[in-house]
Amino acid sequence: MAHDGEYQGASRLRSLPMSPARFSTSNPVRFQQIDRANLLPFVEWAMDRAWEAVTLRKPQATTLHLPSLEVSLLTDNEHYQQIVGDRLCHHASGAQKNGITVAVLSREDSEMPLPPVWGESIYHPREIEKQLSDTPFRATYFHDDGLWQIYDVHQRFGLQWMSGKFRHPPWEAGAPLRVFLHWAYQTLGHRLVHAGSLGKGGRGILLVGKGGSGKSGTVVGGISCGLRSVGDDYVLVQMNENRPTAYPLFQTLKQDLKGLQRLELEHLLGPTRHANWQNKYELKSEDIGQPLADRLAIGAIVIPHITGGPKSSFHPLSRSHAMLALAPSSLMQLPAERDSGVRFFSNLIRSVPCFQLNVGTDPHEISDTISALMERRYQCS
Amino acid sequence: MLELRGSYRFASPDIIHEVFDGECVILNLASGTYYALSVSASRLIESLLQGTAIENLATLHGPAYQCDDVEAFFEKLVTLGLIMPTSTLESPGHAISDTLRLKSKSWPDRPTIEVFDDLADLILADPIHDTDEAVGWPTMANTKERAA
Repeated sequence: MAHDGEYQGASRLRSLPMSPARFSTSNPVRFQQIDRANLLPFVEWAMDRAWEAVTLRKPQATTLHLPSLEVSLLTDNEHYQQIVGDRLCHHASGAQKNGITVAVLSREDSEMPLPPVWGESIYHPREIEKQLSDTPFRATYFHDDGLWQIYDVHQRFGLQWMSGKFRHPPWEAGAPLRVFLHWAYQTLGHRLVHAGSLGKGGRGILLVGKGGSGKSGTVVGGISCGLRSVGDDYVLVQMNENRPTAYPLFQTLKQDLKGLQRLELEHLLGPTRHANWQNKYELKSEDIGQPLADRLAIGAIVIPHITGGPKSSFHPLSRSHAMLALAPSSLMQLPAERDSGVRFFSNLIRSVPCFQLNVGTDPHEISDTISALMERRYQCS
Repeated sequence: MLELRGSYRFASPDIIHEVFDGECVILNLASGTYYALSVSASRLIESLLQGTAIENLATLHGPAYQCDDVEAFFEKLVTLGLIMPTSTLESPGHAISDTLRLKSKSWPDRPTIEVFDDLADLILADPIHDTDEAVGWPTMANTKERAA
C-alpha cells in the first residue's frame, strides 16, 4: 500500500467526466428517511455531497494496488485506513490497471452530515438491485450501523457513508471495501467468489460450501503443511477463455480456537489473543507457512465434507451440486449484480471438474490427498 | 388427476435456472431459496418451459416413475410458487413429441425437487442479520456481543 503525499485521488476525480450540473453546488434537498420512492434522488444527492466533501476537505488519499484494479481510498478515518492497510493484499503495480475512487466519510471526519436512515418500508436487497439496475448506481444499506455504500459505475466513484468512524458491519474489518470491489470487478467481468483456495506450483483448487463446512480449516491446515492459498473466504476469480484464475484480495485467514488446537497452531495467537465477531481468530498466511500466492490457476471445484473419519478421499461430484454449493452464498452475500453472477458461476462450474473432499483428521494426510488430486488432474489435462 | 392445464413459465423473472450435465438447478434471486432437481424432473421442467402442455407431460411414465409422480412434481412446483400458467385458449400448449415420449422411458429416477432455504432468512431479514451463524459471512452472530 502506498501513501500518497500529493492528493492524487482528487486529480483522478477531476479527470472524470463529471457533469457540472451534478457536481457543483450544494443541493438543498434534505433526506430524513429513505424508501424506494426517494432512493434514486437520494443516491444522486449523496454522491453530490460526497464529491463536495472530498473537494472541500481533501482527505488523505491512499492508493491500493489490487489485481487489475487500482483503488484510491479517500478518508481521514484512521481506523478504516488501518483496517484497509492490514487486511487488503498489495499487488505490485506494473501492468495498466483500471482505477476507482472510494471515499469513506462520516460526520466526524468530513463535511458529510449523518446519513439518513431507511424508512418504514421493508428493505429488500433484490428490489433495490432491480430499481437501480438501469441507472449507473449500486447501493446497499446496513441498518444496524446506519451505513450506506453507494457506487457509480460510470464515474467509478464510491461512497461509504458512515454514521461514525467505527460504525461499520463487523465483517467489514476482515474484508474492507469488499462491496466496492465486488461492484468494480463485476464491470471488468471478474467476480468475488465465496471460496477458499489451496494450490501448489501455481495451480490449485477452489473450496466451496456453506459457512462451517470446513473451508477455512482445510485452507489453514493445508498452508501449515506446505500448500499455498489465495484466501480462505473470498477470492477474486477471472475467467480467461474459460480458464479460471484466482487471486488474493484479503490477507487474513480465520479459524476458531478448536480448529487452531486441532492444527497445533494455537501458539500463533500469542498472549493478546482477540477473537473477531464470529469468535474466530485472524491469522496471516505467512504466520502459518508461506505468504499467500500471487495467483492460482484453478483446476477443480471441491466441496469439503467433514466426516470425522481418519482418511481423506475424493469422489466426483455433479456440477449441479457444485453450483448449489458455490453460487447461492456468493450471490446473496454481496449486493446487486446477481443475474450476471449466475452466468459467471455457471461458466466457472462448467470450466473445471467438481469433487467432494471427505476430510480426514490429519492435516498432513488431507494436504497429501489434495496434492494427489491436483497432480492427477493436471496429468489428465 | 392433475387439474393443471396448458403451458407454464417461471412465476417471476427472479427465478432462474441452469442445467449442468442434464441436471437442473433453480435459484430464486429474490428469496435466496434454491432448488436441486432430479434428472427426470430436469427433463420435465425443460419441456414445460419450452411450451409443452402440462397435462400432456403428466401422461409420461417409465420404469422408474409413474404418472402420479409427474403430477405430484408439477403440483409441488405450483405450491412452491415457482411456475404460473401462460397459456390462452388460442395457445394451449404443445403436444409431446415422439422423441420426448421415447426418451422419457429411460429417465432414471422419480421427478423430485429438493428445496434449500438456508439463505432465505439472510435475504428476507430486515436488517440483514439475526440469521444462523453457520451460514457464514455476512450474517451476524450476535449484535450485542461484537466488539465496538
